[in-house]
Amino acid sequence: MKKSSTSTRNSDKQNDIIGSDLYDCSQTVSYKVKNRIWIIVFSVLAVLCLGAWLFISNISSPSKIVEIYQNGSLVEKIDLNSVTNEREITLSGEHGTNIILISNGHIKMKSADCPDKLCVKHGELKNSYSPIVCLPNKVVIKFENSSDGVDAKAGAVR
Amino acid sequence: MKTNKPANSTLKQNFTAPKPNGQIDIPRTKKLILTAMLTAFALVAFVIEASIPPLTPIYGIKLGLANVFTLFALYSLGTHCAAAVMSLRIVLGSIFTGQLVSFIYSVSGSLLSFLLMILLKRFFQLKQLWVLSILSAVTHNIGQLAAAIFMTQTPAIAYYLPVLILSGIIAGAFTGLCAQLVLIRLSKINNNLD
Amino acid sequence: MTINAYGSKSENAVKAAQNEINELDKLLSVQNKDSEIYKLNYKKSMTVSKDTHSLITRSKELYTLTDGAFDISCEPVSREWGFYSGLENKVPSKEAIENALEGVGADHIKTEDNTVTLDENTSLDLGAVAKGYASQKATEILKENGVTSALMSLGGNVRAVGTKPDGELWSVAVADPNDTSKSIGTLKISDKAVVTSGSYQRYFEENGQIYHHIIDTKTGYPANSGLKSVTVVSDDDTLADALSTALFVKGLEKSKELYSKNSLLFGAVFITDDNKIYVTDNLNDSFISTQSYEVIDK
Repeated sequence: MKKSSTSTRNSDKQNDIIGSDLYDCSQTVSYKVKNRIWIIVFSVLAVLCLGAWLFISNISSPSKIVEIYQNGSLVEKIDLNSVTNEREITLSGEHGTNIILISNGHIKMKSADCPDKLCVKHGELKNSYSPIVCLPNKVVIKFENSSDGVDAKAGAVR
Repeated sequence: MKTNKPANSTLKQNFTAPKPNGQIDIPRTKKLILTAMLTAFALVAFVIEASIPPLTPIYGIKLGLANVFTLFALYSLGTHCAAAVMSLRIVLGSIFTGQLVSFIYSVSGSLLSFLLMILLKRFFQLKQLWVLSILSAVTHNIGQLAAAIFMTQTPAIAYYLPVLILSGIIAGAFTGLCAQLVLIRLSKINNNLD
Repeated sequence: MTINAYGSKSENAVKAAQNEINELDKLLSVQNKDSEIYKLNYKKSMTVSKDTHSLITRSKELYTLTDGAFDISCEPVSREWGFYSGLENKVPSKEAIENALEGVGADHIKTEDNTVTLDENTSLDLGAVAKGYASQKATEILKENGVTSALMSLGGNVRAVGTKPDGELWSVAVADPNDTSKSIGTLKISDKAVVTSGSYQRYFEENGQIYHHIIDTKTGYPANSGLKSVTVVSDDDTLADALSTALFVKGLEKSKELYSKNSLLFGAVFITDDNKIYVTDNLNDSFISTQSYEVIDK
């Protein structure tokens, strides 16, 4: 008895692992279908995300005013267009120092002591959607984005 | 009971293969050992992955190989063991790679991901482990992103969401398939030995 | 005080502007014992600096323009109400107010060459116009130093120099009198001063009644004109500052009259006690709000 049942099961070895069920033929169809549905869902989602990402990363910001934050507080606000000489800003955090390089129209992380150095690999700051972030040292370089688009408030309580 | 067994059935005496749904029915002590082994594998995977230079400048895009073992444990040994594998891997992994800062991000991502896993596990059989894996990878990334936004106080980071979802889908599919294929192959040993 | 100036020469310009504002504050602040105004109020007649002289002269002009609603000789009355540091806010007696009102009025102020003479019971407080004057001077300095794009905020008085660096208009929110953390609308402007006066800015309560700091110098009491706040937009900061107080005292109807005669000089946004918003037609295109408002025609 045991041997005969073994031989039946052996033949199923040939079946595709994904989408096949070992015992019930009617279940095979629904698994295949289910899997196909998920494949389509994820493929569509992936394509949408890819599109969104390409679109976003290619926008370049019209404003050239950047803000450098550390630990959530503003360290400095710079108009990149008004920079005549190249200069550097050094910030120190929990994971060593970050050196920011500022030149006319450009800003980037020149070097960092953090473990992954993703902030350095980011390259230049291009738009508001992709800020330069050094998570370990909590440094963020981004374009200025006035809250609610308001630059000042008249009538603040004196 | 003593019966005539074919030669290759000696394997069965010392090894209990997974059932077709992935579950391994062994006593608690043996589960403990298996859990420890999986944790060790997960740690190794984590440390190796951490020492490879990152693919892209974007934080949080990685393969997440350690998750293979968490998923494996989830389907074969159950929720508690999977929780152990995951949490120990996070804690020890952060210590071994010397990055306590990323610990916070790891925890938030993994917490969210694990919650999702245990909630939705019942809807995804072994054959669809890969789907659950994608979902858990994506939520892991979302959890990390949320933590990063909170820690740096910059909501602008949220624009990374599309890339993180995309990489979650790809990585999740890969790791999920790994765990799934291994578990299914192992579950067939039972059939070949009878 | 914040000054955000953009451009390559902005750093020096900002420093110079800040200096000017600090100097003017020392000169004009009625509460500063070293200021010319403080000394003038004591001596009643003295030689004053150019800035003080021109501001007092201008203030007299504005007194006439606003039919006395803007009056820098309100110091004795404000003093009775306790609106200076070191004094306690209180509701003064009728007699005290009548006494204080005796020296009130621009005709009690005489300006010659470089001297100012006050009548015996006249004292000056330039608080309603000093910030405007300061921002005007600061703007001149910024422009002299080559700044073409800047935004200043002096204690709630906003001044925009030029447009934003990218050419866009500046967005200035108008505070909601009922909740200053919110706004009732936004003004899109360039090269303008925006000044708001409101009863919500300074006030005290006595016996369940609220008394605010904008005194109607005709009655000696806080102006009760049906308005909660007035925001004035103008090229002339001093005018904007003075008018924000004057229009508040005058009330909506009289302000409309003044507007129809001077619509080229300023625009305004009014918020009444029952929270209705009125906007002069020359600001209709610049004012953006989620709430409905009525337009005031010339």
